[in-house]
Amino acid sequence: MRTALARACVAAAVYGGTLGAMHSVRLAALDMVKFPLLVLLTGAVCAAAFAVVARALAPNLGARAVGAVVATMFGDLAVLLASLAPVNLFLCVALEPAASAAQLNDYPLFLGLNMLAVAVAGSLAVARQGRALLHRFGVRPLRASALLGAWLALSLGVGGQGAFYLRPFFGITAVDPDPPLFEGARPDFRGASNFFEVVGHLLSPPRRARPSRANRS
Amino acid sequence: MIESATADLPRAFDDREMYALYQRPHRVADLVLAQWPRFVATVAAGGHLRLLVVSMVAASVVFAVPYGLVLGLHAAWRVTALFLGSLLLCVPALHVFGAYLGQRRSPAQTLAQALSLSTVAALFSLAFAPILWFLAVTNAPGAVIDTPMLSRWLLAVCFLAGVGHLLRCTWGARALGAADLMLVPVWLTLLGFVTLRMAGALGLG
Repeated sequence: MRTALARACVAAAVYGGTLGAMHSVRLAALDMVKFPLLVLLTGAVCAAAFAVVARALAPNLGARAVGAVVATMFGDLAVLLASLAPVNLFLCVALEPAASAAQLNDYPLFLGLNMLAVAVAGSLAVARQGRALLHRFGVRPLRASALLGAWLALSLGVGGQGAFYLRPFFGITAVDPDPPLFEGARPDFRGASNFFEVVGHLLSPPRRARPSRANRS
Repeated sequence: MIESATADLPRAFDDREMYALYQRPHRVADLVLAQWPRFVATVAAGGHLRLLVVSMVAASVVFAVPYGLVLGLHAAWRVTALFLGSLLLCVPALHVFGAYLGQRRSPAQTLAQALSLSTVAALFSLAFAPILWFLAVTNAPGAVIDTPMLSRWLLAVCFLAGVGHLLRCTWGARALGAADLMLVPVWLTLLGFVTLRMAGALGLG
């Protein structure tokens, strides 16, 4: 389990460094620390919940087995993403960075491609551990799916909130040339104060406040 | 006692396993959750019910405290009151209506069966306590989706986990009559209503 965790941290650092590379060397260096921290934090906060859910759905999985499966899952995710680090670095050079908040150029594409990479790598890591649960530990398919689904939901909730708190991972040099170590609970540009509000705003964008009569020219 | 259809149930916990609870009382969570077929068999056989009930009540109290502490020192007891308190209010109805519908079960057996819900709910609340703490620490004070709202969602998941486990134990017991099939879902509706009102009264809802 320790080897899997160490591998996850190194791989996460490699990938994390490429996230901020489009902004600056400073942000890339910060991301090399923040991204592994995000992975470790998510695993640590969810550990008890992972174990209890496993006890409920797959009682034959002991605590050590749960730890090994989860550590391997995070490790696989990090390694898959690290394998895309050369591509990410290339995109930092080949894509046109944002010139301003109004002129984003290829920045949204860079952001979207990385989100897609995380989603695909995450799905593959979960699917691989699903097969391991079936073959190695004899967990039935429906139970394995339910267990992995529960673990995924917990990781997304906690990891998403962790990512919101530790942001920015990406950035626009022209808008914010000197980003802080992390934004913390400060609201984002739409006013979202946590990850769940960000998701809510994605599903239902907040209306912009109309100017009052007094403010209209 | 439950009828002889229990003959094909898994083996009940023996004396050694039950007396081990004196030394490791936290193991009751493992007995109730992970080894639920044997837990069902133990309740059906009627042995060691006092020890089982006391252990499950203690687990329902102790496991729920950390979650309450995350909400605040003043709230340490509230999650226990929510799950265990609501359940104890509704257990008499479960036993009496069950007897009325033909179940032949002692009060201790009914109580042990019902306490599996609060034990599992409290265990899940223990598992979610670090998550709630993390969300509380990283959330902004004036957020629309604030920590109390997130806590309500987590408590709902804990309650539903307990409900799912009770249904699994009831319908997996194989000694099913019409009373078991009809009564428990209806009773769970009552319990859900009481738990919701209790949450409001305790400031958790």
